[in-house]
Amino acid sequence: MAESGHTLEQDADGSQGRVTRGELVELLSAAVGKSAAEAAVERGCAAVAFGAHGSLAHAQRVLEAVAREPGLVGITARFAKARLALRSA
Amino acid sequence: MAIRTESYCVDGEAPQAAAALVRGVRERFDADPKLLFVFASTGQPLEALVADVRASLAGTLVLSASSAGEFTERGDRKGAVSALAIDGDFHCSGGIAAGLAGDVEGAIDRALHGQRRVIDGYPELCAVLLLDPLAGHAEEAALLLAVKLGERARIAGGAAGDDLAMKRTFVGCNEQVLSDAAVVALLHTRAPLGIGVEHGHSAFSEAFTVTAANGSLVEQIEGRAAWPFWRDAIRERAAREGFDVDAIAPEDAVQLLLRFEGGLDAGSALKVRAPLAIEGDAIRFACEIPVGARLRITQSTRDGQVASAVAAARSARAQLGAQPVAGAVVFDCICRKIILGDRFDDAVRAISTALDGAPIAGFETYGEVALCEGDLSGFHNTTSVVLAIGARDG
Repeated sequence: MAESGHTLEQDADGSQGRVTRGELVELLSAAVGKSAAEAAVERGCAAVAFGAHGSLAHAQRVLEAVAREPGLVGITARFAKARLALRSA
Repeated sequence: MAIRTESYCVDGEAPQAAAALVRGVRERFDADPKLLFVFASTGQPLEALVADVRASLAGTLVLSASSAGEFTERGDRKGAVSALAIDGDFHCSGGIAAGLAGDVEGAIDRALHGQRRVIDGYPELCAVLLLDPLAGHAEEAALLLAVKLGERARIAGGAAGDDLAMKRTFVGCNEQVLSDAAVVALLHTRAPLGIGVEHGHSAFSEAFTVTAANGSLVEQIEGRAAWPFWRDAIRERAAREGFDVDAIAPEDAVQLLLRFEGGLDAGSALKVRAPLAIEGDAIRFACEIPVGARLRITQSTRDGQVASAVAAARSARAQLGAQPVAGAVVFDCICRKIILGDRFDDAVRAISTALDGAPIAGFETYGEVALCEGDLSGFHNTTSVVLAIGARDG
């Protein structure tokens, strides 16, 4: 899986890195498909007021919101949250 | 101290097969080997088979699955038992839990319970996941296992089969053999194992949208009942392969379904998802297909199937680095056998050659598990997953 780069700028909440919506979709697509991933990310972003891109911490909150959904989408979001944390480690 | 493996293929009724397997193990190992993978056709009911094996090899962790076909490096066999015994400098543990359909996370937790995640001196961890695909949560199980194992997660495995009956599959850990279950085993080694995965399918249809689904049961595609939609989409190509989709009975359709599998649009790649059965006008897959998912229908050529099997083996081999290959377990999708027909033996021998002729044992699965660093999905269809074990001399 190719690394999706993001700059490691310090954000107001003290976290580093910026994550785009596209990267969040990418994290979910392999397991649930692109269209379901896009829809889930849309819902998650709306739930936590995430824009086109945001801090790593904010992106994690998107995935936490999606993780509350039932079934494969929610489980995939939990997994994706762990993967996102690893990319920035 | 190195790691050593030996492969076996035996047939006959369960008691005779078990006796032959034990005899073979005793001839080649001075003591009970640490680990034994056993894959059995419906001709050797797994519970009876494994009970007899464990009665003689009480010191061996036996991980088992019912199968849709069995093979070793010596070739393909049907109606038999294939097995790989592994002994040497490594640690292994295993667990099993039922309830995969109703509580996938609970099942994974229970199967993992009590197993050591870290063993001093054995820094490499590989999990093996065997599961019942008819429970419908294979991708969920693989991802949850990865979440629980953490960043070190490397997972290989397969979904049990039942000789294409699509009625009931079994997985086993020692004497416990269950349906609707998952087996999780942890292998701790000094050097990494190799996990290779490849499929040889490509899409030929345009993409269409799943408009109604209930977990792994796809009910509607583009607003139409799923099976009639699928049937229309594959009619011409199926006819070229000798299938009349309008005359085929749903209970006989599995051979057709496994030739024309679903490809989930996963962004930069196509994720193959196997339809396993027709239920009324709906299609049952091996894992959840979300509503709104975009699917295309895929197909593969014989050459593509052989090439992808070899690629998986080479990838696994490369990950062993300079280590000689001690042996390998191969989780190979039943669709490969269906597509290759009498050329399946060629694929098996090609896998063996790519692994330097080392012992291999494998089975034909209803789905495969592979998840390594950087992977974003753990359950696959139409692939070969090769788990290669290095000998690590000294």
